[in-house]
Amino acid sequence: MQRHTGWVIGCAIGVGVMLLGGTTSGHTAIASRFTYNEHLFPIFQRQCGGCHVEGGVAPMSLLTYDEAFPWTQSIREEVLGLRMPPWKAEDGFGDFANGHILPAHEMDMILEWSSGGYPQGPLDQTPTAPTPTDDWTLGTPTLELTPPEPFTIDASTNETVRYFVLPTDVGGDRWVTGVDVIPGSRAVVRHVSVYIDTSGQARTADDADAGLGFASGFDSAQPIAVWWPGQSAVKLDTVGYALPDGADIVARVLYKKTWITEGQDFTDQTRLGLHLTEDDVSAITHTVLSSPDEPNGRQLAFSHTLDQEVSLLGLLPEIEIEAVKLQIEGVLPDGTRQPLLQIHEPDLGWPTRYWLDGPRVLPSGSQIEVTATLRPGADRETVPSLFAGSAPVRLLLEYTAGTSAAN
Amino acid sequence: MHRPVPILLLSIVIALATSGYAPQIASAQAPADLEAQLAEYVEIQEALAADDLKEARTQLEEFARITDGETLTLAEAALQAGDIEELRARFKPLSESLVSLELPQGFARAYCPMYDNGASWVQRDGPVRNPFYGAVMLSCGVVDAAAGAHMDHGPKHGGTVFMAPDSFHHIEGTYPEPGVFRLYATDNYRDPVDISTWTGRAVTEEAYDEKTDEFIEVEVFDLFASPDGAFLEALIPQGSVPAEVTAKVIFEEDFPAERFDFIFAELTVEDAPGAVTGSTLGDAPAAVPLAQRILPDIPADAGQIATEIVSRSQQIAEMIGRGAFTEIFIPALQAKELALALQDHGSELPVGDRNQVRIAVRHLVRAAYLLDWYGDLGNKNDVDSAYGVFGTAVVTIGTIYDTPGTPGTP
Repeated sequence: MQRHTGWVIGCAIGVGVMLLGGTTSGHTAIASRFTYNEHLFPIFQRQCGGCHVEGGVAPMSLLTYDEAFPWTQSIREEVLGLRMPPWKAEDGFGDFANGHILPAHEMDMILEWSSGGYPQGPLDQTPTAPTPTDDWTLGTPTLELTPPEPFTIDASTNETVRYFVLPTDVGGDRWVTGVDVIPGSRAVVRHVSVYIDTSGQARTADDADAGLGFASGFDSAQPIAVWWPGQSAVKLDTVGYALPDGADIVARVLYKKTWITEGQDFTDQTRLGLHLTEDDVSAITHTVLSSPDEPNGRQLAFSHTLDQEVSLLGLLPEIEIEAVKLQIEGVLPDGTRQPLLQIHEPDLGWPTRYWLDGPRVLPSGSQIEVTATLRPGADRETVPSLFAGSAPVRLLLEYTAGTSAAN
Repeated sequence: MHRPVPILLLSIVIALATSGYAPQIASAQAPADLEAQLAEYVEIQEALAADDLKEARTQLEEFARITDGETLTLAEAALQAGDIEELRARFKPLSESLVSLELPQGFARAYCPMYDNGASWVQRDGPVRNPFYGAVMLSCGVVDAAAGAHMDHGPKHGGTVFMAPDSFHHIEGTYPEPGVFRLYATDNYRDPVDISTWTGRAVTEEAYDEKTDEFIEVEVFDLFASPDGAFLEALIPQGSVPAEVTAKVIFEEDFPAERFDFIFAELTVEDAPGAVTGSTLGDAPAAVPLAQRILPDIPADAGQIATEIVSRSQQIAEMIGRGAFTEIFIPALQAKELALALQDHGSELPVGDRNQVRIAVRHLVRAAYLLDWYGDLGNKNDVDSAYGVFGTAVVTIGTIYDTPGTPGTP
């Protein structure tokens, strides 16, 4: 899919909102106790540096004062609107291994700084902007996979999805216990999801497409990894995804340009680092839950009763209807409620797999309750699913049968 | 006043003294003073912002006649541009030669980070008018603080003052006699603005449509400019105080109306102190950061902190009730400080309650800043919406700490 309006919209929601803050003209005072050099840089580096780094997938770096200050009112707007950072899981409603929300005190620092004159701070404490490195975050992988040649995103293409078939030949059945991603071109690799294909469907689609990889025709139901810049990869221990001998790994890569990179040619050869084991681990399986098509008032609520004891490991929600909140709870047979995931202002643009920081054991008969609170007059926008779902709200549950010792 | 340094770094210092360079413009004259040069330069900038190539060229020729040295060279180069995009590209170095100067009152630096890896220009102080993108992205950019601008948000006519979303105009509403609503405007320097070209309406009754999440105007009265352009006025038959009037003002043709919500408990007296002002900070020195000046005392006991938070929430509710939106920021930001301190007591709570407080604190922090922002703008709908988030968080905290006065608790 190509879009040609990105840079205009980019300004409308970016710099354009600078004027809405009421602080950009003669009423900006140095009201902030926090400065960029002393307080904000470490937050931006940790929370935003995956994308907002020189050469990154975001249109501007926030890792030097000179680069960040023109965007202060946009930063304020994005944080106040809960649009950025894109990790959405509410802190205190479930605990996760692969990310954490901007905590209250850091949100406070950002908002006070951006609405309070955005002081730079002591020049002798000016931080050095880091350079992204191509290191495996989970350590040296067992198996490194990459497309045989670079894929070209030509100047006229602003956004496209491409699948790459990556054969494995490791001499027997294995378990995948971790997937690391190193983007080939950080400026355009926006999102990567990874699948195991034993059906040959991906190869068929690949053969039918003259170019490197293919654009469509693959409907895997369970990604084994979902990655975007800044996301932490998860290394599993006693659980894994079955990788039968000779199975293919399929990488789905979303390339997306910004108003900075529009009109430019890029090539990408993203690398996957698979961590494999022959040890006996518990198989991760999945269930897809789907909402009804029509809401009841402003709510789309649905539930699923587990017919066996499971150890819940991960949640991958997809929402393609305008919602202000999504809440997922486990309800045990005795009525006890376990908070699993709460998201405010869900964003279709950042599909995220929330990996629990430890397995949640849910006895047989437990219910998974999902409630989406919609905006008044919510519109629906169809977006490609990472797990072949089609309902307006859907949820991929990942779990092992029975009680897992750990994940 | 803090000034972003990079704008200055982008610029080239101009030598205003005569450099011996021979002007190429046939009717060249002695260079005018800086203010006159900037006044002419701004005409070029305005023409480009209006996508008017012909006018931009005409004004550029005028500018070339009254400047010299490097700016003349740059102006002459710009005159050779074949189309408006080329002219904009050449306008960039010309602008950069001016932005580092000490600007006279009425002019301001502006910066657009998008155009050609960032471009600065000088414009009349006011809303951004981007000469590099024109109508496509007229408001793309940020205006630096202008010389002479200040923090005076006090009323000039005894009424209630809000900031317009353009961060430049101060809008003051008054209700000087029964059934008469007036709206005045001042600029960044608090000088009166001629608003004879503004239009708008005064709305005294609205209905909320749940399906669309929009407010539908039920009782509406046109705002008319006074003959001297000093104010807009709406006559509201049978109007009396207390009165709630929503002014929906169109500053510029083809732009949407901006909303300002006024509540008048009594008739406005012109010479009286304002019913509501934006400044209740006392005499604290301005050099002390605002956030520091309003810091509340933090009790040592978590229950006491919760009590203080509930108290601030009650203050906000009272301020909203009387339309004192510009005062909300003080209890809102104080409550935020208290909430952040409360989080440090989380270990004293059971895990479930601790997590609920953690969530509530985060939402309270966000809502406090929204209240600060929306309060300045005087938009009651937005203030109510933000207070909904704020109030929900306060109820969570008050319930967990069993705080007297928490809404919904005995």
